[in-house]
Amino acid sequence: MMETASGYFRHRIVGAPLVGAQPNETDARAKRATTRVAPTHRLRMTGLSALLVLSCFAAAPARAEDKFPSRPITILLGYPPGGSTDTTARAIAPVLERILGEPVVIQNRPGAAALVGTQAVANAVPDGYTITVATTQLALLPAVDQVFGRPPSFSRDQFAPIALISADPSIIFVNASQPWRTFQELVDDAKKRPGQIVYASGGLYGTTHLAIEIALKATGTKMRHLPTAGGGPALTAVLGNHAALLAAHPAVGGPQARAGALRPLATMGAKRVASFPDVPTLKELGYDGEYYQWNGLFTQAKVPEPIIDIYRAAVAKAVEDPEFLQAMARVGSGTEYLDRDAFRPWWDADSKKTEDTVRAIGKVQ
Amino acid sequence: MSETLHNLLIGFEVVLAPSVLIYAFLGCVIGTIVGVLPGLGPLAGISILLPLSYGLPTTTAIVLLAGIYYGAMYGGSTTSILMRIPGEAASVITCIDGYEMTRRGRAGPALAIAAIGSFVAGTVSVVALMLLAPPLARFALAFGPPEYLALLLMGLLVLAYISSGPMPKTLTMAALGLLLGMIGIDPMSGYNRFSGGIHELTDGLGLVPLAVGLFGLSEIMLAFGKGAMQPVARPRLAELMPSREEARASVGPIWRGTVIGFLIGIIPGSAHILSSFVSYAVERRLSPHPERFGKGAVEGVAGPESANNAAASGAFVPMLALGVPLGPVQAILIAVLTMHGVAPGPLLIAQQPQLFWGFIASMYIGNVVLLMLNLPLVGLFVSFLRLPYAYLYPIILVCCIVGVYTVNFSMVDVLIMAGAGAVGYGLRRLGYDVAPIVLGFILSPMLEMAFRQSLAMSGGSYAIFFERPIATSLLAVGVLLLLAGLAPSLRRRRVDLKEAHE
Amino acid sequence: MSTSWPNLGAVGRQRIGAFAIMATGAVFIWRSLADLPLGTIDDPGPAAMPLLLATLLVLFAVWNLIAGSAGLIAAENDERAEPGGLAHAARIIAAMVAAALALDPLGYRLTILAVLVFFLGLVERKPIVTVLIVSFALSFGSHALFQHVLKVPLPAGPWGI
Repeated sequence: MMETASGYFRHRIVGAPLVGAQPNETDARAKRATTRVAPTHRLRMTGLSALLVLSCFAAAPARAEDKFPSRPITILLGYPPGGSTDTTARAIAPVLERILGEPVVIQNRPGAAALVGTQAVANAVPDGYTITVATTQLALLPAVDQVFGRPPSFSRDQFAPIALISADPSIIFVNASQPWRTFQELVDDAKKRPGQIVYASGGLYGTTHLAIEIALKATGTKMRHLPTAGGGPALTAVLGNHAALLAAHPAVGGPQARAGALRPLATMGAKRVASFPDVPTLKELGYDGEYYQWNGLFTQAKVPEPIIDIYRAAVAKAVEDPEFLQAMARVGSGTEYLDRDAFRPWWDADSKKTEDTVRAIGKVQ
Repeated sequence: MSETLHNLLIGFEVVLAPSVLIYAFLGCVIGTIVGVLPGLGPLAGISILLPLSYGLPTTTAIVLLAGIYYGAMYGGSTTSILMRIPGEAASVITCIDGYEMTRRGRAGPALAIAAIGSFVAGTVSVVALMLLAPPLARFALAFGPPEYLALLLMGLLVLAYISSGPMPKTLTMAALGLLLGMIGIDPMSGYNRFSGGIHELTDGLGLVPLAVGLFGLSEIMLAFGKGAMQPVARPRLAELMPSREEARASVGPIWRGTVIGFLIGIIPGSAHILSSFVSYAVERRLSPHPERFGKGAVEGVAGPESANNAAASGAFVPMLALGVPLGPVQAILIAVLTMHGVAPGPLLIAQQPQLFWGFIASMYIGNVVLLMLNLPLVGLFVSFLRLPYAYLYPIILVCCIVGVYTVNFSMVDVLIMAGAGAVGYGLRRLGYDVAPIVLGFILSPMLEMAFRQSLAMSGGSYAIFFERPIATSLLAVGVLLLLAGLAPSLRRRRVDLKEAHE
Repeated sequence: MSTSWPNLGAVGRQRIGAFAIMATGAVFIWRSLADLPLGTIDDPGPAAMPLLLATLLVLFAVWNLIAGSAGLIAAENDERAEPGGLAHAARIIAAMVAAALALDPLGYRLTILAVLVFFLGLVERKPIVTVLIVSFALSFGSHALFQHVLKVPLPAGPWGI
């Protein structure tokens, strides 16, 4: 052993790699150490750490990439586990893995209403290995930034759409104890006492808020808004009759409706929903308002076109795959597939609707 | 009643199958590992292991995930007691007296009491869950924003009983915590408050970085020198278990904590975090020697630990009986159910009895497994403390970094922890007790939201607080408690004045 | 009483604490009024509650100051403070901040390695062999635990370390 610690450093470290020491050198050092202080566990620790260090270099560096994909793909989500975006991603990931031949891993990065995760996707290296399942937040968050005069956290044109995977129309549910039996009765009552009926939403500017605002605009009525901390609390608020109605995904309100706690009055899609065949659409009732809770596959705009085409082909096959369809059916979500060329105008239209609605809501205080 | 027992037996039959039991055990072990690490809480544990559950049959998947959840709740108290680092939100209060017990060489008894209390509370509340889930769920639904506000205002009263210091200091720290809770996006108006343009701050400072920094980091910073942080004497085997006095003193707090925790747990929202705080305050108020609290009173461990386990079970009531998730953990469990084709909802209990009863049975089993796991581990955990301090504290620091980072994979959280550590150190050197900061931090966003939601419902009218029976009665109870709390000090002041005059 | 902490006495420390807290409250009051709308009585805005709380904070701090100066409340100091304590505390904070900043660019293993080597080797001056063994074992070992057993992805540094 050297006399001083600094002397030891100078002798041992300079010229010798700190990492990847050969086993015999480490053992020699340790043996010298053990002649001074002799617990045998030091020898064991040496061997163990040498093994650990070496094992990290056992993974070979990246091979030359001439075929895409040649390493695992990450689906980076801005939403936490359990939400519809997450379940959609988890439904399609194993199928994509089978088709593409590489592991497809899901990473949740929730925070700031999908802002943190979405920004992470936008800023990721555009090599095609980071994709995302996203929804209205791509247009919503920049629109909200604009309302508050903040510089936008990202913009839509940082993202390239690959395909639309699902689009479920929102359904307007009322608490079963409320007197309205049809949507028209609700509208008439709302016109008689504007601003008195309370609706719940999962959060300011969220999808359940925008849906109702679009319905209100279509019917020319005014209601009072009760923002809550998310879809679950909004549902609870209506179940407890603290708010009279909410716009919810069919799978969310479905079990409650079938148990008789909620009554569906109208759906906001172009067609009626399969699980609620008796519920009319707003269009049928004569009101022009549509709203979908949708999920699509996206990646960065700078990703080369050939890679995007590989994804497009993979998704086209995945949405027909029985495993995927079964998984989606189980969570009560339909599938609505649109390839990129059809999806882009659809997305642009939906984004414009989102931006217009947010602008119309404006600041609430 | 016999039907219930019959159903329960069916549930046990499902769960006691070896294939399911293995996963219950696995879940508890993983949950304990996850819970022992500061920061990485039950939510992270479950979301990480969610993919593992896909290939499994439904009941097994739920049993695994519930085991992780419980394991994390049990494990979270370990770091609180041994190192004053809260394992997760619910264990913050355990840091106060639990750690003081460790400093007095009573780490083993503290861990044992925490495990036993959690077991009793968990088992009893599972029974309550089993018997009363549907009517309790209906009661829970009646809690809207005004009722919630009344409840939280009572939570504010609890603040005064959390700290053993003089009232002006306690109130200052509480106000500081309340103010820090305002940082972040305002959910009612969309404005970003005090976040300085940092995106990661829009969800607020974060309870985990704040608590780990204020409690754990500041403790390491203060404990400088030999003999710091280690039990004074090397504990013998007999001293790993609670003494007869400690055991007797814990009985009342455990029962009270169970009831308090369960009732608070069934209420929708994040109120269940309050359960341990309320239990601590109640125990302190009821104790004939309140000055022992903050110096290693076993009641300060028994009560809160029981309360937070009971609240964890209580939080499942709305999920199972109504299919409504009241927190992120329940949201994941519901997602797992839906992915297996089970639609959670009010009809779940009727339509899928083997799932409901299997879940109930797995909660019993989980509690037993965890007790069996944790009691022998007490000795192991305590001996961890006997590492030379020079090695111990860097390892703990690393655990803090990892634990806090893995909550959101954000380095901003680690920075917040460092900042909270510096602030906590400064405040403690200046003579303040930092515990009320954490409670205030949790309360203020909920308070503000409940208040403004109530006004949104009523269109601006304050009458709403007096038109609803539950809200009004809770407010009345709160006022009575406040007066009851002030009365002794008023009487004392009058006595002092009288003595001054004589 | 630590020699590196200025010898203020109990009341002096009370005063510093109270003033620091009052300053914090004042900053919050200033930012609330500057950035956020106040709203009305029946529709309180985002500034309302922070303003109320910050005002309460300042008032309580003033109460503290008065009560402390009048000797009505005892100023406790943590009795475990020792000489060199401030430097120890500062080192810990510095290491935490450095670790936070290093985690994403350097990756988990290198950062934790650096933290452990810093404390065990440079601060505690443990023998170099022990330091390296323990640091490598813990940083790489814990990474393996998280990555492969718990399936928690941790950041990788340069060259995939």
